[in-house]
Formats: sequence, C-alpha cells, structure tokens
Amino acid sequence: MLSYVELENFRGFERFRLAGLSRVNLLVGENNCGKSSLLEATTLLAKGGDLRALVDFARQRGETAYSEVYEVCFPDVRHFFYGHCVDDRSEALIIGDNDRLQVSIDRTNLRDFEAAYPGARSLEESMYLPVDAVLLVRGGVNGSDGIIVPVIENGRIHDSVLDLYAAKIRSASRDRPYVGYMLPSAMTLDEIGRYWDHAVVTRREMEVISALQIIEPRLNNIFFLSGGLKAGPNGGARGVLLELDGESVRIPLGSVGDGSRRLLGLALALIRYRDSVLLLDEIDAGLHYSIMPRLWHLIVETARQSNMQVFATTHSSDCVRGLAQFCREHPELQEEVSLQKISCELEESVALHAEEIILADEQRMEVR
Amino acid sequence: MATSMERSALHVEGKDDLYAIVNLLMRHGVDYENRRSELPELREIGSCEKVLVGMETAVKTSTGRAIGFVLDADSPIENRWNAVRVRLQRVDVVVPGTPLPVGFVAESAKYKSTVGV
Repeated sequence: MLSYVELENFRGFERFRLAGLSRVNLLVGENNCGKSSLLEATTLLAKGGDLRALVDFARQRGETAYSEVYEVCFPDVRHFFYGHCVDDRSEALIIGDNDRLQVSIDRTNLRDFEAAYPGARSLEESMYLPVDAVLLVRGGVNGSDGIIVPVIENGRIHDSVLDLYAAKIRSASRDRPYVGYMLPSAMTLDEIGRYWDHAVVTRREMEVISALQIIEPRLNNIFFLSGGLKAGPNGGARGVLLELDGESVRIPLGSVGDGSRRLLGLALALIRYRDSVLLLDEIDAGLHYSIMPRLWHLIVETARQSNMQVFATTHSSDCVRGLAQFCREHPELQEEVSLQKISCELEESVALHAEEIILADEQRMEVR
Repeated sequence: MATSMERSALHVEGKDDLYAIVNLLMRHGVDYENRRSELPELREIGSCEKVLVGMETAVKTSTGRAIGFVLDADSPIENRWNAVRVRLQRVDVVVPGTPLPVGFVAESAKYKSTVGV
C-alpha cells in the first residue's frame, strides 16, 4: 500500500508530495489543482510505469496531435511534463514507497535509441518514423536500465511503438497488481457484463445486489440478458434487468436512473480484484447525497477485505460530509480513511484523518 | 493576500460574540445584512474549548485565505494565550509570548494561510 506519492516536473506540478495516505483516500481541491493528475501519477506508479497507461491518459484527455505525415492523431506526451513543453532533455519523476519512475524525453542523444533497437535504421525505415527524440522510462516494469521508445514529430508516440513496447514488458507487467481507473461516466454494458461474469464465478453476486440496495432497497435480483435474443423494436439484444419488490415486470437498468448504473459499476469494480489499486474520479457523480455514508462504508469495508487501496476525487461537500458521517458511525474503521486537500500553492497535500474530518464537518470548515 | 476562491472565515465562541462582531462591522460602515455572502463567513463554534480544538485543522484547511479566531480574554489571560500559542505553533505560525492589545495577525508558512486572533 502506498503511504506517499511524490512528483517532480509532472503535469502541473513542479514538485508535489501526496502524504499520509491511508487505505481509502478522498482527494479534494479547487478546479485545476491537479487532482486528476495525481490519480494518473498514482496509476502509473501502481502499474510500474507501464507506458500504455500514459498513452491511455493522453487519449482520455484528448491530448493528441495531428500528424501531417500520417494524417492521423497520435498521443502527444509533451503534456505530461511540467509546462507542457519538452526541451532537449526533460524529465519527470514519480516516486512511491517501492517504486521510482523516471520518464524523460531526450532529443540530444539518439544513439541510445539505436543501441536499444539494434538495426534502428531499418526500424525507422520500416515504420516510416522520422524519429526526433527518445522517450526513456526507467523503474517499475521497465527495469532500472529503462525502456526506450521513439518519439516522432515533437512529442507524439506512434501506436505501433506500443506493440513493440508491450512485447518487451509483458513478463514484467504480469506480476503487477490490478489497477482500475473509473471515470465519472458509468461503465459500458459490455464492461458491466464482464465484471458481472466474474462476480458470478466467484460467488460474490449477492454483494453486488446488497450494494445496489443502497439506492434501491426493493431490489431482489439482477438478471443479465446474454444477447441471444435478436434485437428488435422493443429493446436491444443485451441488457440488465432488475427485479424489484412490488413490480410485476423486471425493470431495465436504464429505466431506474444513472445513479443505479454508476453504483452497479462501482460495486462490480470493488469486488473484481484483490490486492489492487482502484481510482475513482468524481466518485459521487450521479449519486444522491443521502447515500454517501453507506457508499463510504461499502468502499472502506470492501477495500479492507480485498486488500485494496482506493483513491477518489470529488468537488462535492455532500461527499465530504458523507465521509465525516461514516467516520462518526464507524469508529472501528476510522484509521482506514484520509482526506487529502490539494492546493496549487502548497508542495504537499494537507492530510486530514478521521478525527479532523469529523471536526471540520462539525465546525463547518470548507475543506474542498 | 487571499488567493483562494473560497471565503475567509472567523470562528467565534457563541451567539453573543457573533452579534458583537456583526455590530462592530455595521458600526464601521459595513453593510453586513446585504453583503453577507461577500464577507468572511462568521462561524459560531459553540465554546472556547471547541474553538481551540478546531484551530489547527482550520489553519491547515485555509490555504490562500484568512482564518480568524475570536476568544474571550478572560480567566488568566496568560493561560488562554498560551493555549492559542501552542496550537498555532504546531501549524507553523510564529506567535509572541504575550497577547498584543491590537490583536494578532500572522502567516502560517507551511499552510500559506493568514491567521488572526
């Protein structure tokens, strides 16, 4: 479990330290203070510096740049470096309890690239890559010597490079813990289906139903349509149906509101893996304030049982108040949570633990 | 200087202190009733002990803005001031050994908040 995460020259942080971490951590702070960047850094750390995660984040944020050579958009990694620009040599550091990741772009020494890829000239020619820099990732799955990948056109990474990269790190990444990153948008039906299959196989489907009862106490059961039925005017081929007390028909998940879908996704993600890291951006999106204490109980209890560390973000005072209420109601679980206030003006997060979270709530302090 | 978009706040012990502050503001020409939402938030905490207990957390969570505390200067003032001093020193505020008649304003170097007592 991470007790701290340190950043240097990463995203909007010249230097920053997320300290005093617990099992479940709620990150708060004004817009553009870097909460999502901290989730990204934590993900990269937990994934051992897997470059594919870096590229996924670039795509999720729309940080792609159009290549006139290829007439498509490629992920642009310049935005991961403080100031969004890359000099001849720029370096970002992400440090945690057991890992030290170094991500650097170097324009000055392409010999490293040629050494890493014997026959680099032919690689360059076969991929039509006008390589003008190298991206070096050291630490974690990349090993202490690091892995070098070519960078084209001032910071862009060609997709085909990732295939080469994946082949190189496959064995190293196999032993890493699962890292889940959940965006505010609910899971797709396909994702929900895959996760549900796992819940059924591991006989944990009742936990999912219990979680969903936080929102819908009348829920008796959940049924997944396999897709065997032909899609027609009355509905799609696949779907989720809820059996509710007092209803003569089973209700499609889509008919009971976004909150149910969001909570279903959350519950499935929570029970999917053990010994893992789960990151939940805008955790309370689509959820009513009244369920927050029970939601926190679900998250903390599940995280504890599954040896999982959770990082969540919010802008909502209801979500923070819900955490305070949870701390009051469950003194036995108080040491499992922290609230991390992020501010652009500080180089370290302000960590509040249960006693202070309750105090701040009682005295109506603005901690967001 | 306040850099946060969040409001500054003043922690007072009870209702009497709250009314005293509001009256002071009005006496000095501040239209409290109509400008309440623009002014620092006045928080009635409940008692002197509660104000003291919440002091460190309030300073820690007030980066980029001001946080003030209004406490009665009664029952040996040295003891009361010492209770304040010990708490503020823990959040990196340099506090004089004796209270100043004009009040006390300083910065928390660690948390970058302006603290007034």
